[in-house]
Amino acid sequence: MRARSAAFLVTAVAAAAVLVFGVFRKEIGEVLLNAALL
Amino acid sequence: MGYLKRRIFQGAGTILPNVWAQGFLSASLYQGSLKSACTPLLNCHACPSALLSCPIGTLQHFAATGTVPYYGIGTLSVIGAGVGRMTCGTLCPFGALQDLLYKFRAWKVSIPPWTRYIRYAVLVVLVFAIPYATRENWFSKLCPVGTLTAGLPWVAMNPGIRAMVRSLFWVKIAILLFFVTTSTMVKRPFCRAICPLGAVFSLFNGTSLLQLAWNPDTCTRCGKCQKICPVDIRPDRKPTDPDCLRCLDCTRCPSLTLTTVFNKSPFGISAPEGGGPLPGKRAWFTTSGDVRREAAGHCKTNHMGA
Repeated sequence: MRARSAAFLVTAVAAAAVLVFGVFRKEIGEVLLNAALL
Repeated sequence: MGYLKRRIFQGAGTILPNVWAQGFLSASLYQGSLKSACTPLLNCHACPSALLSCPIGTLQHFAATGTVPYYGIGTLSVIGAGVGRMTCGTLCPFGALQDLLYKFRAWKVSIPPWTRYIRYAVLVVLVFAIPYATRENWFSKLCPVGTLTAGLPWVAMNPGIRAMVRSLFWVKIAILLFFVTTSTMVKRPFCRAICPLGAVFSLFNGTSLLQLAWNPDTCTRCGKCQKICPVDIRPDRKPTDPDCLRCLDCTRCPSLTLTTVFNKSPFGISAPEGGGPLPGKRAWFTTSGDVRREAAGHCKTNHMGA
């Protein structure tokens, strides 16, 4: 269970880092344009 | 999770991302800022009432433009790290439709386990590789969810779009009809074999915060968890199965429960001497063989309903 907890923490931190990097690159605007204007 | 509660969640998962009814009235798309957020469901953003963007459509768009979709991958990874495939089991509208279609009286068949690998091939080939090579969103062009919630409404509402209907539209209709038909015979065929969003989330089932826990001391291996499972798996054999949708139907059995990776003893409250009801459970919990057999009889009558 300890290994699984550690794996979760590593995954969660990596996922949050990727998401923040995407936001930092202003990808949200492109997602909006793609989804709203097609 | 009880049957009714899951249906309520699935109803909310169908309605809440699609509450912009004005889209149908005015035959237009919602273009507000909420569209910049990816929904954790397979919900087409071309649907006139869609408020949020489709995560697979977003990944494809970035692949087609030759850039890495950090925002899309990050969003899906954060959700997957939290709940694994739970959104597939409790919220996804197309999953709910397949659940309902399976209730029709029809010839019931199983699909071989290897079909689960097709969804990873769909993710790599149709969502990333082909859009990157052709600059076109090929999964979206064929997606039965898009056909049902966007293609058909737009063709019905807009004469201009109706005039543009070509053979590809009929291919899309055929794919939709194929999955509607097979869903009456096979448990969730699209989710198990094709869905690229499920493929992404299933990568996180083993390490997500929420986990399914199994108690070998009370399990009688009766197999009823498989009978009620919407994807036909045995959660008592592998609670972290990548196919598991975390619908929690099987937690009606006292040997299975939802827990977190940090919980070292999910069944940890010791029962009183001779057995006794656990808080939140309607069954007797003990490690003694006698009561285990008693629990098996209890399970047949009260818990699984299968």
